[in-house]
Amino acid sequence: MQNERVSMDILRRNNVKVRGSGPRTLVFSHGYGCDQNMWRHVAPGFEDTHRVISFDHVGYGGSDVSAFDPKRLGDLRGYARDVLDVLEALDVRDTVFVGHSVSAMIGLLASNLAPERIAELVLVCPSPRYLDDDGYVGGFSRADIDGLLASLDENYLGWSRSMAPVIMGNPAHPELGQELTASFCRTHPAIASHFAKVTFLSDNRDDLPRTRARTLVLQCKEDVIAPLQVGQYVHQRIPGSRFVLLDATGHCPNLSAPAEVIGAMKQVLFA
Amino acid sequence: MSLELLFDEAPCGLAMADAQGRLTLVNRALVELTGLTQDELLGRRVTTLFSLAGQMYFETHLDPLLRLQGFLREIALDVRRPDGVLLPVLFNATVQRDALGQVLTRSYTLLDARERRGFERELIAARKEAEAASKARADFISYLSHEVRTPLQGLLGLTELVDGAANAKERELHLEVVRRSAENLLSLVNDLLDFGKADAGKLVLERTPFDLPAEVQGVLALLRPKAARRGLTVSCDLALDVPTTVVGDVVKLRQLLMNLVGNGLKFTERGGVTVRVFRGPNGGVGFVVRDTGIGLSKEQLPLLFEAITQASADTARRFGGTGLGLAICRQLVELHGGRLEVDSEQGVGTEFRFELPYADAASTSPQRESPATPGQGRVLVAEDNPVNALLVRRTLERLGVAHEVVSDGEAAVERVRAGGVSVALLDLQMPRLDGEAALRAIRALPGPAARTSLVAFSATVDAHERQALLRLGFDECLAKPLNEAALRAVLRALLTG
Repeated sequence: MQNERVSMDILRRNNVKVRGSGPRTLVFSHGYGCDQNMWRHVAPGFEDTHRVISFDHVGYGGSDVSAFDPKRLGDLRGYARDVLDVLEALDVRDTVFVGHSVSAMIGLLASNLAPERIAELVLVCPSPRYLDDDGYVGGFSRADIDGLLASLDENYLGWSRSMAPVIMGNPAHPELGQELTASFCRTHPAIASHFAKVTFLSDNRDDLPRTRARTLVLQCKEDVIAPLQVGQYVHQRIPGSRFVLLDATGHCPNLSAPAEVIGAMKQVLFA
Repeated sequence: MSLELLFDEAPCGLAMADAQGRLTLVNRALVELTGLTQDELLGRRVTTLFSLAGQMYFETHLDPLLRLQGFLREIALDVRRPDGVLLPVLFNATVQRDALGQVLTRSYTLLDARERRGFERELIAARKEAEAASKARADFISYLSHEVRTPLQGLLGLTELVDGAANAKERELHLEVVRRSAENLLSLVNDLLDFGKADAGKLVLERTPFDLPAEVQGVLALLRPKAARRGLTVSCDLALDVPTTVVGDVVKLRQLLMNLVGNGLKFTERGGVTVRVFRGPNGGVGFVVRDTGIGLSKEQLPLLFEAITQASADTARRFGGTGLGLAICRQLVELHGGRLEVDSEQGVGTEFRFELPYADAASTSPQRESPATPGQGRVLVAEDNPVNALLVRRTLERLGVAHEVVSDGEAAVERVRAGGVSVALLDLQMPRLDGEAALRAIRALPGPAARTSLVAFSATVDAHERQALLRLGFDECLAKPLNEAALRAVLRALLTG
């Protein structure tokens, strides 16, 4: 009984959704600044053949904001432990973990902590370190991170206004209903700043070679957050990993080119 | 044709992009806004116009939202111009789709938001300032609680000692320290009232004559018993050229010495604390408080006066107190226009130095025609409260000053008219004729009696009230309860003038 209650708490905490069925389980994990809606065009592509899990990181989307603990989530390992809590609560092993952006590293850390839970990793637009370092180009300086924090601050009102009903200029067919937009934009500014720091100041370069999971790196073109050389660096440091350069541009192929993402995953994972 | 004109002449940056977000059409305002040519703009993704921080925000928040929701409204971003200048804009975007929901085109609007962002940043700065002020207030309350608690503990401890005193002499000694502690507490409460009136950090300096050597010795006497119990000495080295009676803020001096000497004792295991008082290099009075304590490292030194770093739980546990005293000391010295300097060597000790711009009372008090000489002048006390009258009488007796007491304003005026009074202490609240009315009556008397030195005697004499009283025509003011050193200083100034 006790365990069941703990499991329920965790599933509620991370707003976990389970769909589809099949012998294997796919776990979709969203990146910084959004929620599991990021996977709404990709995940359905696997629901006929797989059990598909999606969830929100604490502080985002429909997660339980009261469970936010800056100490527990003080680094990406904290977020990785949250992922493992979810996998444990659902009692799943040998999953395929699909992580976008910062969640790529969260999945990698989770696979290092509990290799039995994660057999394969799909790293979508990963970066093990965003700041430049000696001989390493992450693409950003500390000042850029501070600028991002200032942008979050200055757009606090604008961001929440985005989810208020906008009469003028509201397109006739918004793809997302108001409810989903509200979920997407729900982040508390303090949590957004916290996760930004945890994300963009992280350095997981030395964790890369430790993973035992079969790894696929999906790289976009013209991605300012995770540039090509960073994706190649990830590929080089994970022995046996495979690398696919997508035609998609920008940082969110899961939204801009879902069919290409699904195709690349199926081709490599289930060949 | 007119639509094209409207597009190109619009007072804000407008652009269209293809499904991939590459610019296909830009207007003149966007060219001006970005500092790029039309050719440079076409084919670019709109996100590349923004600062790197803006691009991070765009890619992680805005692009997903735009794709999911179909539009963005009034997002604050900075356009990065080729010369590196960041231009604040408000960004709007909308996507246009076909019947199947596929994105066909996107349209963007960029509004110049320099002024608006300026206001917003001012608001944010004001909010942060207010938060800092509220923190400073909280720090001050913490400091105050600490400072009030210390003399209170002293009072309680000494009261017990009085009970167990072996003889009258010992009891008297303890009572003397009790009195000093109570005075100290009173000073602090007065300070608190002062703080209540002005904003934190805007303390007013009082200017009253006081006996400098007596005050310094008084503070040291208060600290000495506790030091002696730990085998430590507290000594004083007064240079001969230091003026005896000075004009300045005696409460602040007591606070400074209490804090600095107390602090020195706290961090000293062997030896003790020496206070040196001398003529300062800038014409004021210089003070050096030196201990033979544990000293400070080079790293600790710059943090010494920071209220926050000092007020650590660790400091409180090891040495008692919140450690805010030094921060206040610095403020007090700076309030006097000086600087609190510190030198320290680990294992050797620490030395604090400051100079206070005290004026020599003998040289600043108004010259009088009064023939009074010390001992010869006669003091009249006008006070209706018998307890207060008794207190003043006893004090004057101890000072060896000839005096007499009347109990109302009318009697005071009559006595001054009769002649032979050098200084009159007038209670401000008396029956028949209050202090102010008595002052006017005396100043209106014929002959030298009108020029009798008049001292206001009141329960509430702060810096502002003091100014008001001096303007009315009083020569000096004294606060209740009467402080012997202050009375002596005032009389010395007025009787010998």
